[in-house]
Amino acid sequence: MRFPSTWVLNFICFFILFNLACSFQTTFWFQVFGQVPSPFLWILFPVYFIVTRPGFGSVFICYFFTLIASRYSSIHLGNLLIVMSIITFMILMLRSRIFWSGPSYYMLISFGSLLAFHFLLLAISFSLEENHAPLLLGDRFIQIILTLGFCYPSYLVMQKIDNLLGTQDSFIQGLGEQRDL
Amino acid sequence: MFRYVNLSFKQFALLCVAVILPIVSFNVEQSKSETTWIAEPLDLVKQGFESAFFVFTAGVRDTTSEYLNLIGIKQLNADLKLKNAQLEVNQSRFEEVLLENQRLKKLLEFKETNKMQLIAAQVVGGDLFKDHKTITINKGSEHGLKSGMGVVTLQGVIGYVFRPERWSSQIMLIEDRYSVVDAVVQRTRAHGIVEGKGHSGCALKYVERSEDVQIGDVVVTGGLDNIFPKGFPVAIVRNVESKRSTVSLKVDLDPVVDPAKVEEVFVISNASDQDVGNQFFSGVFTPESSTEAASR
Repeated sequence: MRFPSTWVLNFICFFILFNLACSFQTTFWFQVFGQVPSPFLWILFPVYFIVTRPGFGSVFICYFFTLIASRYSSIHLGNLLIVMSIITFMILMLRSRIFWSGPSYYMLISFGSLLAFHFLLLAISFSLEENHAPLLLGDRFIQIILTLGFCYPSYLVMQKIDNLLGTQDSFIQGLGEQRDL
Repeated sequence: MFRYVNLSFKQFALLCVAVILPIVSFNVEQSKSETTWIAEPLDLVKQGFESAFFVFTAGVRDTTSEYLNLIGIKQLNADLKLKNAQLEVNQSRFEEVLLENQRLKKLLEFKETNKMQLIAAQVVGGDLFKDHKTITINKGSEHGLKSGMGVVTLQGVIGYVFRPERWSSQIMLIEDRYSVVDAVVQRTRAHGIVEGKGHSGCALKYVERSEDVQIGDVVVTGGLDNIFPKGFPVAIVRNVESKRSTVSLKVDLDPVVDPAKVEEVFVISNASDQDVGNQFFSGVFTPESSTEAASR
């Protein structure tokens, strides 16, 4: 299987965008709004990759994004990987059964992923850690609402990158339309 | 089985790797420093983006404050009020510079009057997740920071270096649920460990039930391991419970330092076995006395 050069450029663009999103959350939002919960922008990128890319490639790219996100926090990489792997496989299974192209599907999946992320992280923490994570229901609710506001614009930006680089068609032609694991 | 799920051997192998990888890396124990060769280039990129955002944000804040100052001026007489607004803007800038100067003077005096070796740093960011309480400062291993070094402000202990990177570091605050700091109750010298509870402050653990701990008592650093100087304020006792079913007291604490208001910190590179003793206060701690002590 050949890797077109546009795939590399595509990956670099998303790598830069992802770091921009994480830095926006940790630095810009922190400096301007202080302790107000920031939107969960970083999770929109792995969700987009899982929704729009073929199966196994998207799994490992999702893991790579998770590795980057773990550097912006004191959260343990293993905890985050477990949660993201469950979310990844859940989305892949759902995508193999129900799928339609367009931003509405992406926004629905993003909303579900946000809920699943918070639930799974709390579940793992409550079941395995003595000093478990705080519930922070208000903060998590605000985060989800704020993130949904960024869903559609982020989808447009990511789609624009894919269309400009012509990568969307080459993914589909090179690997086939893989809906199943 | 392969026929039922319609997988080739290659796909099955990839699926196994994808499932095993997070399980292998899963470990609830928190290790102090996790910088590996694969993470170092990612850390460098991260530091670049955070520094850029910090500079951009400072510019945005300056511009916004100038705009807010000028809004009321536009409604008054144009010439004199505009002059007045310009003078007010300059004055507010000077006042801000003056306050910053006073703050930095106190930090310098604090640094000079102590035997400890201190590295001053600015807070540039926070944690990606609200579950965790960490801040990022603009000093790293290039400036001599190492994992485990204590971080303080004029008012007291704020945390310790959790992950030093090349030009920045992540500081674990004492409120973080993975944080542990050796401490004693200043009045009675009852020994315990300050553990973070997330967003509801801290707790003093492993204090024997026979110890005398009261609401309002000040908890200071114990000075073990020479990470923090001995006697540095950590928190104030908010609540004490003694239950017959446990051998330890349940002591809830409020940290003396509010991390939301911290802009500059000191990293203790060498505590020099210093005992600050009653340098901050000699009696019962109140928030007002802490402010007076800091302003002296």
